[in-house]
Amino acid sequence: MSLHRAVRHIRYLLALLLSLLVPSAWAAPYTVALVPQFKARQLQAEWRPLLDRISAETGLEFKLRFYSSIPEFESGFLAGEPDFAFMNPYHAVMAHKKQGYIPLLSNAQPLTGILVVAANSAIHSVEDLNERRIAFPAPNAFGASLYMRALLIEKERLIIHPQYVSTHANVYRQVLLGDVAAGGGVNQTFADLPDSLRAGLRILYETPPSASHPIAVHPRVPEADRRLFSEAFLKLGQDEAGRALLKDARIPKPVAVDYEHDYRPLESLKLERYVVLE
Amino acid sequence: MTRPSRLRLPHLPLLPHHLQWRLSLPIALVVCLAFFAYGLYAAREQSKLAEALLRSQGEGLAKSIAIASIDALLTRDIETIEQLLLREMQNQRALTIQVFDGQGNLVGDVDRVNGEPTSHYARPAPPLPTSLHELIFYTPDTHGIHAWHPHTVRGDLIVWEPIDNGIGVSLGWVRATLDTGPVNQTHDLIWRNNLFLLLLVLLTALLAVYLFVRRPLKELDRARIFARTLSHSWGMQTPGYPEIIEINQLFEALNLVSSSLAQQEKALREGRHFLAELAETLGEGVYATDREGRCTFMNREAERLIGWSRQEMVGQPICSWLHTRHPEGQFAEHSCPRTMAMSQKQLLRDDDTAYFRKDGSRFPVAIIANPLLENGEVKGAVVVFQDISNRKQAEATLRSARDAAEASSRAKSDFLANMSHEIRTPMNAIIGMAHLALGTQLNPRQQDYLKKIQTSAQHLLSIINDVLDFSKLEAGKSVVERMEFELATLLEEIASLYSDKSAGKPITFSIHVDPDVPPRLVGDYLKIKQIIFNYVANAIKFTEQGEIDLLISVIAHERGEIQLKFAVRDTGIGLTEQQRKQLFQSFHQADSSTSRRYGGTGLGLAISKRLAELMAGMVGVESRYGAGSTFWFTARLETASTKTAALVVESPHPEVSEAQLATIAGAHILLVEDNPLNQEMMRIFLEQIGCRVDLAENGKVAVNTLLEAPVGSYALVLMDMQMPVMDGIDACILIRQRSELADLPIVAMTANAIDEERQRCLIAGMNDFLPKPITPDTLYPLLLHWIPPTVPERVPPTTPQVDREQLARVGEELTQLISNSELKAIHMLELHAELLRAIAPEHYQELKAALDDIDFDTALSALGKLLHSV
Repeated sequence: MSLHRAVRHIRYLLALLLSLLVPSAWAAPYTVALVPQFKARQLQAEWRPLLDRISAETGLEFKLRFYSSIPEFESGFLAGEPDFAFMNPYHAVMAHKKQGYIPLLSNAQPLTGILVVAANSAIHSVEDLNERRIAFPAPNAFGASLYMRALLIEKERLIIHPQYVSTHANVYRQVLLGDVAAGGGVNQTFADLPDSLRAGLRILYETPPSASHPIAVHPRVPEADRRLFSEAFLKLGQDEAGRALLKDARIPKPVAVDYEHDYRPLESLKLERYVVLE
Repeated sequence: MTRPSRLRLPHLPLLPHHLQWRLSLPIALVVCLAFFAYGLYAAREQSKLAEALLRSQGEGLAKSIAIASIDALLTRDIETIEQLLLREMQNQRALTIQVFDGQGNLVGDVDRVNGEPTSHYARPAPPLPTSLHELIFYTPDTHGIHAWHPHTVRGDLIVWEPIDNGIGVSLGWVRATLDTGPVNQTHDLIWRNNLFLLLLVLLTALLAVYLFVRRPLKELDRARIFARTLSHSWGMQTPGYPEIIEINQLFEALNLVSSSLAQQEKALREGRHFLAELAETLGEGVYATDREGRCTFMNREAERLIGWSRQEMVGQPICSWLHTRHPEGQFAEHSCPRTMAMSQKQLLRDDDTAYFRKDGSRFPVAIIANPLLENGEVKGAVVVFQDISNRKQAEATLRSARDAAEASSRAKSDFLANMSHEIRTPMNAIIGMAHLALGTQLNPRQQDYLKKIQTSAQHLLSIINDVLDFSKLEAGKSVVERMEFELATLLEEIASLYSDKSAGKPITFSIHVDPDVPPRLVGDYLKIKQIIFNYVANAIKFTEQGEIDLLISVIAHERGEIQLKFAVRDTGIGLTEQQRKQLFQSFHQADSSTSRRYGGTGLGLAISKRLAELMAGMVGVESRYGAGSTFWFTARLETASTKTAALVVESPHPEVSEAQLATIAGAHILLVEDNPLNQEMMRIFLEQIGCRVDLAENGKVAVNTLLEAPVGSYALVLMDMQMPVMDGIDACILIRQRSELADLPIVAMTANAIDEERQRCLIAGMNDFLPKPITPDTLYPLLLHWIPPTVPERVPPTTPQVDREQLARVGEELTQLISNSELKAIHMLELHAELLRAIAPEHYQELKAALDDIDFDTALSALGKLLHSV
C-alpha cells in the first residue's frame, strides 16, 4: 500500500470516528411527514428533491413519512411521531398544544379561504347561502373548509349543509355544474384553475388571511439542526433550482414564522368545534 | 368503265379507322374498365372496413368510458371523470368525449385544442338520443361534397353509450365524437391511387397492344404494298410471316396470285402467239376491223387472196377496198356482210358476194362475218373468207348434171309410159279380137287356131307385163301404195286364183292365218297379191299332187307397224341346193329345162324379190329336192287405225250374173277413146250387155259432149288416159269443174301401170280404174259397181237345188261338143259357167282349164266327174 492511499484510509476512519462523536451524526435521519392532501407518490415527487438538497447542504438526513389519510396524519403528529411535519395552520395549533411542535417556515403569502358561486348565480351575498348546500373539499381542509365553515356559522350565523367532495377541483366543478349553491376553496387553487373554469365562477366571500401551512419541528430536534434546516430551506429561494423545488413543495416564498405571532390568534377561533372526525 | 367508288369516312369517327387504334383502344379501355370496376369495389370494401373499424373503436371507447365513470357519476366526482376523459383523449381518433348525467347535464366535456386534450366547462350540452336506434351515426359533412368522390365525405362519427349500473338504472351517457378524417383520407387515397393506376393501366395496355400489334400490322402493310406491285409486275414472290397464320395465308395467297398471274400472262402470250401463228397458217383469209370498219388485222392468206399487203391495208376502210374495183369506189353498206353482222350483232354467212383484188380482178367469196362484242357493245368484227371460184364452178357443173339426169329420168319414165301404152294397146286389141272371134261361128280348126292365138297373145301379154313390171322396178318407178284392205278379200282372190289354175291336179289348197294377224291392214295390196299369186302359180305349176298351203304369220308388231310373213308351201318337185341359189335372180328358172317344161318368163321370182324389198321385206326359199318347197316373203304393213285414203281396190272379179248385168241394161255410157280398135272393142263389150254407147275421140270432145248434154244423161264415163288434143286427166279436171258433173262416175282406162298415174287420176277426180287390157271380167263388175241399176235386179232364186232338167240338157250338149272336139264347147261352158260351177267348183275348174288348153280328153273326163257329182 502506498502512502497516499494509506493516508486516505486514515482520513476516512477519522471522519467516521468524528461523525460518531457528533450527536447529530449519530442520530437517525429525521422523519418528515406531509399532510396527505395529495397522494403519496405525488408528495414524494414534490418533496424528495427538496429534502435531498437540504440534506446535501446541511448534512442532515431526512426520511419522508407518508400517512394514508389525514386522520392518521393527525394521530401521528399528535403522538409526536414525525420530527418535521408540514401541516395546515389548525394542525399546527393542535400539534403545538399537544407536543409543542414549533413552526419554522411557511409560505409568505397568507392563506385565504374563498367561497365561490357560479358566475351567473343569483346568490350575491353570503346571506343567500342560508340553508343551502355548499361543497367543501376535505372536511378539515383549513382555509377552504374548516376556517370557512367556522366563519359562516360563528360569524355569519348561517345554517349550511356542507358536502365534502374530496378535492378542490370537485368543489369548483360542482359549483359550476350547479350541484351545489357554493363551494369553498382557497385563493391558490382558484388561481390555478383553467381560465374557462374560473370564468364560470365568482368569489362570494373570503376569510381573513392567515398564516399558511407551516413546516413544524418537534422540540426534540436540537436547535442547531432546526436552524440548519431553516437556513438551508430559506436559502433555496436564492437560486433557480431551489425556487423550482420550492414551487413543487408549494412553498414558493418561504419565510420564518413564529408561533406566538402567527398562529396564537387562531386559538381563539375555537376551530376544534368544526373538525369533522372520520 | 366504272371506277371503284371511294370510301367515305364518316364525319364523326366513333371508332378509329386505323387497325392499330381500333385494336388498342377498345382493349385498353376494356382492361381499364375492368380495373376501374375492381378498384371501385376494392375501395368500397376498404372504406367499409375502415368505417367499421372506426365504429368499433368508437363503441369500444364509449363503452370503456361508460364503465369507468359509473362510480364517479354516482359520487359526482367530476374531477375524476374529467381526468378519465383527458386520459382517454390520448386515443387519436377521438375528437370530443362528453359525459352526461342522468338529467342530461354535461359533467365532463373534453376535446382537442391545438392538438392538446382540453376540458371545457359550461358548453351547451347536445340533446340526449331519444331512441336506441340513433346511437351511432355520422354528422353531415361540413366540408362540402366532392363531386368526383363516389361516396359523400363523411362527417364525424358520433357514438352514444348509455351508462347504467347494470341493474337497468340509467346513470347518464357517454358521447364520443370520432374523426372520420383518416377514413375519408384513406378513401381519397384509394381513389387517387385507383385513378392513377387506371391511367397507368390504360397506358400500359395501350402500349402492350400497340407493341403486340405493331409487327403484324407492319406485315399487313407489306402485303398491301406487295399486292399493289402485282398490278405491274407478276411472278415475284415475297416471304410470309409465320407468326400470324392469317397473315401468312394472305401472303401465300398473294404469292399464288402473283405466280398464277405470271402463268396467265405466259399462257396469254403463248395463246396470242399461237393465234397469230394459226391465223397465218389458215387456209382461209382472215381480217379484223374496228368499229368504224378500219382494218386492224389481216393474215397471210388474206394477203395472198386479195393481193393487198398487211401494211397497205391496216388502218384503211377495208370493205370499200374489197367491194369495189377502186378503193375510192362506192359500195352499198347493206350489201357488206361485215356491216350487217355488226349491225345485227350476230354471225352472218354469205356466199353470194365477190371481192376485188388489188389488180382489179374479181372472185367469188364465201364469208363468215362475226361481230366482236364486249358487254353487248360492238367493238369491231372478224371476217373469214374463202375463194370459192372452184366451188361455184363445181356447183354449176353439178347443176347441169342434175338437170341432165332429171331429164334422162323423165325420158325413161316417158319411155316406160309410152312403151306400156304402145305395147298394151295392140295386145289389148289382139286379145279382144280373138275373144270376139271366138264368140262367132267357127269351124273347129278356126276355133283351134283362134284359141291358140288367144292363148299365145295372153302368154305374150303376161311376158310383156312381167318385162314392164321389171323395168319399172329397175327404174325405181315403183311406189309402195298405202291402202286399207281386208285380208279376207286378198285370201278370196288367192283362193279363186288357185281354183282357176289348179283344175285337174289332185292338189288340196289350204290357207292358215295366225290368230294375231289383224283382219284389216294398210299396205300395198296389189304388190302383195302379185307376189302371192306368183308363188302360188309356181307352186301349182311344179306340184303334181299333194298340198299347197298358204301360211300368214306375224314376225313383228310394233305400234302401228306390222311385219308379216307369207309362205307358200308345196309338195312339189323341190329344188336342189344349186337351184335354190340361183333363184330370185333375173331370168333364172331352176334350169332351162324347166322353162321349156313348165313355161314362164323366169322373171316372176325376180320381180317378187324386188316387190318384197320395196315393202321393206325379204324373200327366201326352203326346199329339198323331191320333197317340196316353201317359198316365203316378208312385208311391212300397217295396222288399220284410221281410214286412210283408200285407193279403190281393184275389186276381185266376182262372177257377174246375167241377171245382174240386166239391171244396168240401157245405161248411157260415154266412151272416151282415141284408138279405133279399142273403140270397137269396148263398144261391143258394152252393147253386149245392153248399154248405149256414145263415143268421144279425145278429152276435149268428151268435155264438150258432157257440157252440152243435159244433166244426168250419162251414167258413166269411160275415159282413156293418153289421147291427143286433151288427155284424160285434163278432161277429168275440166269435167269436175262443173258442179253438176261432180258425181258423174268417171273411170280411167289406163294402160299405164305406173302408180304415179293412178295418183294423178285420183287427184284429177277419177273414181276408178280399168287397167288395160280390158276384159269383160274386169269391165262388168266395175260397171255394176258404178252404174245405178236401171232395172231392179232379178234375184235369182239361189237354190242349192239344181235344175236337173237344165243340167241334163246342158250336160248332154257339152258332152257332145267336147266329144266332137268342138271349140264351141268353150263358149257353151262360159254361158253356163254359173250353173256348172255351182255343182262342183273343182271339177268345173278342171274342165275350164282343160278347155283353155284345148285338151278335150281331160275336159271330157272332167265333165264326166262334174256331172256325176250331182
